[in-house]
Amino acid sequence: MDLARVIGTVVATQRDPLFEQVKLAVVQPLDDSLEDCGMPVVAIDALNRSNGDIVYLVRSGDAMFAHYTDTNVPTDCAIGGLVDDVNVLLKRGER
Amino acid sequence: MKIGKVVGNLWSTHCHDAYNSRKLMIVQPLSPKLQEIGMATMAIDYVGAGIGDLVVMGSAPGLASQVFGIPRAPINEMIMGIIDDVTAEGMTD
Repeated sequence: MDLARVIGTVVATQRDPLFEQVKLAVVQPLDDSLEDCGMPVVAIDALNRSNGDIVYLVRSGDAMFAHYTDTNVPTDCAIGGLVDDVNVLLKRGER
Repeated sequence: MKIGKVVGNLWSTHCHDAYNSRKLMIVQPLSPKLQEIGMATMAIDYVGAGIGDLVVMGSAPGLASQVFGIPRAPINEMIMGIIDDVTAEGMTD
């Protein structure tokens, strides 16, 4: 589960019916020192996060379960939760 | 599954129910020769690993649901074991 920063939202009125009440957020994946790494992706957001929040992402098949509706939302990336604090003791190179 | 080293931990109070009261660790994947490969990632620990431990971690769709007994668990990587020793003959660096 990668760390990421919420950087925007996506509005799509024409979409899959299973996606009806699902908020789509644009997230930028981060490495463990919270620097950008990789391309931004779109993730479903059940926790209604706002821009700038640090979150962690669930990917692949398990992301379907990340929304509170009973139906499985067709997605491969979802926000799992909000990060309150990250504590990395062994820096890169000392691992 | 991958070999990794636990390098830190993470707190998250506002999260999906499946993460409630779970131990979230930051793990750096390593090669069998214990060199860093790729980016550190977050994994859920349920075997009691501490920072600095060598661990075995892995993820598969639906695996977390079986391990934690939750019908719909949006969880990927999990720390499944703590490594005592690794031997890997014939591996080039």
